Amino acid sequence: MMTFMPWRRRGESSLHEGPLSEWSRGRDAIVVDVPWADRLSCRLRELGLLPGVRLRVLRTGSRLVIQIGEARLALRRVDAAAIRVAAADPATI
Amino acid sequence: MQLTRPSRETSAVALIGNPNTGKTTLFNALTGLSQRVGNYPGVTVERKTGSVELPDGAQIELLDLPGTYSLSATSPDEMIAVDVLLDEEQETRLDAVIAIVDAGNLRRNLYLVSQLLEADLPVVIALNMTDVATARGIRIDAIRLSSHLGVPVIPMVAQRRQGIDELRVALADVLCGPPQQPSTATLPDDLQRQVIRLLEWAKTDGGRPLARLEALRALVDDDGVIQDRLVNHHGQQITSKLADLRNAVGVSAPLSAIESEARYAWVQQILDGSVQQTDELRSSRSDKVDRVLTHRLAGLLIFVSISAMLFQGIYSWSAPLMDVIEGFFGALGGAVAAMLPEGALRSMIVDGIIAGVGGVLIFLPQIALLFLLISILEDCGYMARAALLMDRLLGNLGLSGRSFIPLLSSFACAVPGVMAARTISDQRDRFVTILVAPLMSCSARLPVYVLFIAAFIPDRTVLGGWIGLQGLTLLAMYSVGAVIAVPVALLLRLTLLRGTSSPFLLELPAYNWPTPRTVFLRVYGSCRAFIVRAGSVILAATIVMWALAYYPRSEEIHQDFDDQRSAVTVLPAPDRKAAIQQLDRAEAAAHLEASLLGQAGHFVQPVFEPMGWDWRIGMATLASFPAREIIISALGTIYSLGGDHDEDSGDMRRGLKNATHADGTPVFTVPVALSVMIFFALCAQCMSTLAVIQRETASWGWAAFSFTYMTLLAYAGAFGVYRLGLWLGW
Repeated sequence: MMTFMPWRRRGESSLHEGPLSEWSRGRDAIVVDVPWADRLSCRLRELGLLPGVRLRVLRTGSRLVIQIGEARLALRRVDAAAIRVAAADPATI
Repeated sequence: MQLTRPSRETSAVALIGNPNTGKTTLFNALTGLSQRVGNYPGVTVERKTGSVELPDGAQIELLDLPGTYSLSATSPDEMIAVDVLLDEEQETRLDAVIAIVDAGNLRRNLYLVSQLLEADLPVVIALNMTDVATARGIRIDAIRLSSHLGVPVIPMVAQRRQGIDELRVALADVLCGPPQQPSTATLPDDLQRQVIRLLEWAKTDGGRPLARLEALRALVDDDGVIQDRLVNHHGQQITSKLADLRNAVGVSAPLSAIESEARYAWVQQILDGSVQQTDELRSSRSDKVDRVLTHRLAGLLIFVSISAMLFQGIYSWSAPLMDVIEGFFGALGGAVAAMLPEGALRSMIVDGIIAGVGGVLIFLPQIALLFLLISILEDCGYMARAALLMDRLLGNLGLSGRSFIPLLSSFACAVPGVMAARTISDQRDRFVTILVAPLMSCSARLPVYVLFIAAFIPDRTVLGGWIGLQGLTLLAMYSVGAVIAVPVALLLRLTLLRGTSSPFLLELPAYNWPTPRTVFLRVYGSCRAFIVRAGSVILAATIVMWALAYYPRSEEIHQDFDDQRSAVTVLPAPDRKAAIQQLDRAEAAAHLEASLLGQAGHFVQPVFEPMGWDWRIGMATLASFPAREIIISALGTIYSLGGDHDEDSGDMRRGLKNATHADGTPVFTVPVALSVMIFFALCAQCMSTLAVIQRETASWGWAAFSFTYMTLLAYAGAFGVYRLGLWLGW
């Protein structure tokens, strides 16, 4: 469940786990879950976006840029909402 | 070439790899100028081949496949790789595959390799960009990697031509050597069993044996392209057969998820012990650049400035070269005219070919500059960023950033633009992109704009001297198609091609300096195509146009003017010369009016009247149906034959300015010039584009639709601009 938090600017959430679309820039995350059904997630899996993989958000806004390995991928915020990630380094929480 | 060597049949080798792995650079390094661009049979897809000489003297045919991440094809573009591997194209029976992988991103690149190793073809791995990987602290033991994979791995830096010879040697070895024993990913046994069941079914009940690769893709990619194709071959029964087999695998997750996990597990095994790299994500210099270039405000501003610079640059930088070519054709026309006796032959060469085709070739510098700038932007990696910025805008139109590159390429030429739409996986997205792509102002329109702007738009600066009025008009002409494309795309999305916009996913490659060789080959290729076009379609149309405008040659008119000429011989010398010149012009004009073209022109005149055109512009426009540039050559021929051409300088601009109606008023005013430019900005006068639309959509209906809607738009636009211009008193 997403809660509406007007006092908190988009991308600055400090969730331990949440949708990729809400992840803040520069903070490393570990992929928890990528949906199965649609073609986009199929392709994302083929590109290596699998549970357990580390990623970083490089651009926030309506179009995200994420880094997996050495690759930078651009995708829409709405599509990123279905991908769940968790903080990579528990110490930073 | 060693002629003594017994010739053997040339082997065919395909080059395959992820996008942005330096595939084009490697292809160019291996083949050089021997490359040829053709089409795949059936689908029109640019098919780039070239020959490579191996160390043992054998020649092989290298085939460049479009970049792909996986053999699970989602777009027509990715399907090509699968088809070539499956030998669907009967012409290309492959003997081996070169898989190019990015050493800096091995994990993802090996995913495709794991699929390739199952295709029963010898594979050589070109481990490219090892310099970048080393700089990033990635240590790759190529020998270990090779023994893990069971196929040769050749480290290389294609951009600096390192490792190219080693790759040639390895290729020669696998072509003659014993069969390879590659390592393959362990897909779950249950899945393998169902693949075998499908293969057996296809052989017995299906009527057509399948390749293993095909069977696997049909099973895993639910509703994928291969499944569609099997339905075409075997009928609907295969859909339920596939569903049964998928159920029989007995897993809850979709097979595609099972496949990707199995393959990445295999990749991990391969990398263990052969590659040392940290799991830490490291920032690169490109990330810093992207903070600015993909910034939602600064990035957009930069994008707009780059576009403005592009158009202003094309206009102003090519001027000196154009003057040189123009001078050359002027001198050539004069020289030929002096050498040949007066008559039909001289007229055909001077008025037809030199005035016509020469008039088109003048624009070669601009074509070269346009392609130069676009290929530099593409090669350095900026285009992907522009696509990212444009996705928001295109998303509102029901398209995605994926459509950006096809649309932008269409500013050079709609033919590659329409073909580039193959990278779009959603069919309706793709069709909308194809239908609006020809609205983007292609390089064939450039000559039309440049000619009319130079002749009729005053050369002064506006906006406080920041930009020239001529450059601004050019920018406006370039924008008009793109602006009109917005409502057209929206309307198509709401009516004929209803649907929601497809998801957007794009890799942003690291920035790098453009490879001069890649840029050069691209510019060279397009200039060649332009010259060939000028020498074929445009030449033919020009000669037909000339003949229609020249014949029938009425003796009566000639006699009549001869009588008048003898009448003026009584005048004193200076007046006589002027009077004879005037009579010569009048005779030429009378001949033109009486010609077949003139008669037809008067007949269709009412159609063009509302746009302010005289019959000559109308006929030249009709003649330019095969290609827009023909209007230049047609006008050149018409005004040259009609005596308006300024023969001293061979300058067509002056010819247009001097053209008058029968009553002495000028044919071209600013509203007329703008009306012609708008018409050409919006019309679909290009046979090649219509043909490529037909082939890409597999329907004449869409080609006819494109032609109709664009012609109506062009007519309405030209009419509107003409009336507006008159009303404003331009």
